[in-house]
Amino acid sequence: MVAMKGVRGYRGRGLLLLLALLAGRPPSPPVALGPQQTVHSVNPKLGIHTRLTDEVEPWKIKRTLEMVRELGAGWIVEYFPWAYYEPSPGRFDWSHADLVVDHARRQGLTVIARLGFVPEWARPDPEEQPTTFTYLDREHYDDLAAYVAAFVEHFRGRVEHIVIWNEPNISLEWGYRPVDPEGYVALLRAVYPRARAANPEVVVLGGALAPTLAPVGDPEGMNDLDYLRRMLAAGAGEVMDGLAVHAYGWQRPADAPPDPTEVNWNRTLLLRQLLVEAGYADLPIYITEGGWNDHPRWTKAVSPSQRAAFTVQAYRQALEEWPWCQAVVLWAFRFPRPANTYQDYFTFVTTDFTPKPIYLAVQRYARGEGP
Amino acid sequence: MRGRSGAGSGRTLVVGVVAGLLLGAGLWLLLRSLPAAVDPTWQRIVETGVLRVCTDPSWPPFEFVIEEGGEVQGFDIELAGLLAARLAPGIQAQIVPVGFDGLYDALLSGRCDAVLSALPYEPMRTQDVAYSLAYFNAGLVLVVRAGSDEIETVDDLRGRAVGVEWGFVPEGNSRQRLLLQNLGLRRYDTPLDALRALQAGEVEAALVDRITALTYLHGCQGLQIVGEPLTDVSYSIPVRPDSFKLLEEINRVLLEMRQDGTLERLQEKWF
Repeated sequence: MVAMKGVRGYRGRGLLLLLALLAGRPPSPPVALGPQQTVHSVNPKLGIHTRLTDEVEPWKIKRTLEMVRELGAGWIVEYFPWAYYEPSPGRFDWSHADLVVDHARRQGLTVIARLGFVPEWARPDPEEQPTTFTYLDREHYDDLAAYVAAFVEHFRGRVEHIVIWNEPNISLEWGYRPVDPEGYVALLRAVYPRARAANPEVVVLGGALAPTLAPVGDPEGMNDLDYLRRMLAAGAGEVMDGLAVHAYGWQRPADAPPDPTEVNWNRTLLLRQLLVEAGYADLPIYITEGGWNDHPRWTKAVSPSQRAAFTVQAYRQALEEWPWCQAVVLWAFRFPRPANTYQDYFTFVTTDFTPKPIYLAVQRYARGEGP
Repeated sequence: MRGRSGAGSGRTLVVGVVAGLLLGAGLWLLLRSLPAAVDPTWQRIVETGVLRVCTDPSWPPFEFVIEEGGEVQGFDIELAGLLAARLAPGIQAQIVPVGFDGLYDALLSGRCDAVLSALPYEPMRTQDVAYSLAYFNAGLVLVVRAGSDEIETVDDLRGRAVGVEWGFVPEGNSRQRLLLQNLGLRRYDTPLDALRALQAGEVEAALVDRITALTYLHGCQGLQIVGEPLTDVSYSIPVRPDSFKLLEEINRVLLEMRQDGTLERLQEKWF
């Protein structure tokens, strides 16, 4: 009995000691926002798409945005998934979004928020109809509009540009349904007035179409030029303040001429031409994705030196020749973890924050050092 | 008290040993009665006589489509045929062309049994696929002018002009970055340009991937590769994780091919 008592006594004291240690353990140090910074760059349109949605460690969020500033990029696009921030109707949790936006602003960056990702509660019952997070039927357009309005109101004065949806001209981004330009314009029509009511200064961007040469009737998507033409015919120009454009160069240089039968950087000019023809020459374009890839095997990739040269050329071209283009935000700064596919070769820094040669080349250009 | 206690311990020991023996025998009988694990892929290959091999035929000389007739040829294609024939009598390789970014998905969704497409071993994928032994190393090699006996290792490069491809250091590879410290690097747009610069006398050595080096050296005189690859980019054959028997057989054949010179002969033929 004495021995048992002794063991219990030790265990009890050990437990108390553990509790005391846990209770006295200092909390994880907060990551300070730090002093207000300014982006120094010869090109005020220069931007880069960050991928902080799934980055949970505050110091990595801060380091990412510091390195974006040090690159000389003043713009970022970041994704704020609806399902993450409104997990049930009307209940919002902006904590992670606040963290990203506040660090970005402290680094002197302008944030363009991409909004999408439908929560389960706004989709059909999975027992009756399985759907993905890109599925939104018309009955729930007002739910998205309410989320957008809440986002815009919460970030008023901090985030003044939003992109509604992503690449609606490809089926996988439209809930694996046939794509529907008129349906997308109806979505913009539901969202636009709510966003502007929440913040009359907010710039609502539509489009963000995937550049694709899909033939007519392709179940996987619609040619982006055809899609935009139909969007504009359906009145999209009245319910957006600018067009978001995805401008990938694939294997062509930045000065490859625009050609409807080819995906290249200057396809942006064809989209711009459609705006002009439809009477919306005053609608600005924001490039919210784009660039080149230098994977050694991927069929749409170029060599690292070509990638660097084309990228710098593209930034310079937008600055010097495209007055209607407000920002050039290329894909992508860094992934929280390796994708282990060709996607990794779109990034400017590695997962462990090592700058790639492309980062250093763009940084030299932004500092006015490069050719 | 002490004596009684000793006798008790002895009996306990005997009982323990007997119980242990009985338990072991029981387990042995139980394991013997269990059906042997089955590799469904291997079973199907043996039944049909077909090894389905995914490849992206856009990477000469490993795999490419010849213009006339559209046939797929190359180092990997020939290796696939030889490998299939040595797996078991009567087995033939069937080539399944797939785009590069779809190779792993094609394997995992069952469109093929193995991938032979100059794929480097990727440690991050080992939960999804099982890799064979390496059959080719495409890592960086040191190339110098023939007869240059002053440069035998990378240590001899200090202070010398060395040609490399611009931006060639693979991301995150700190070992390679260390390797290149203190070298007088001259960057060229492509690894071929670095080799041309070496031949023209602009640099004293070049560090390029082994595929480019072997291809270039095949068609030119006056350059040589020094030593073994300095980095490891091992081409391997991934299979699905449950294809354990197929993997075992592939590894057996690859080892044979290393020992009997088959892999070396393939390299000589295709480069």
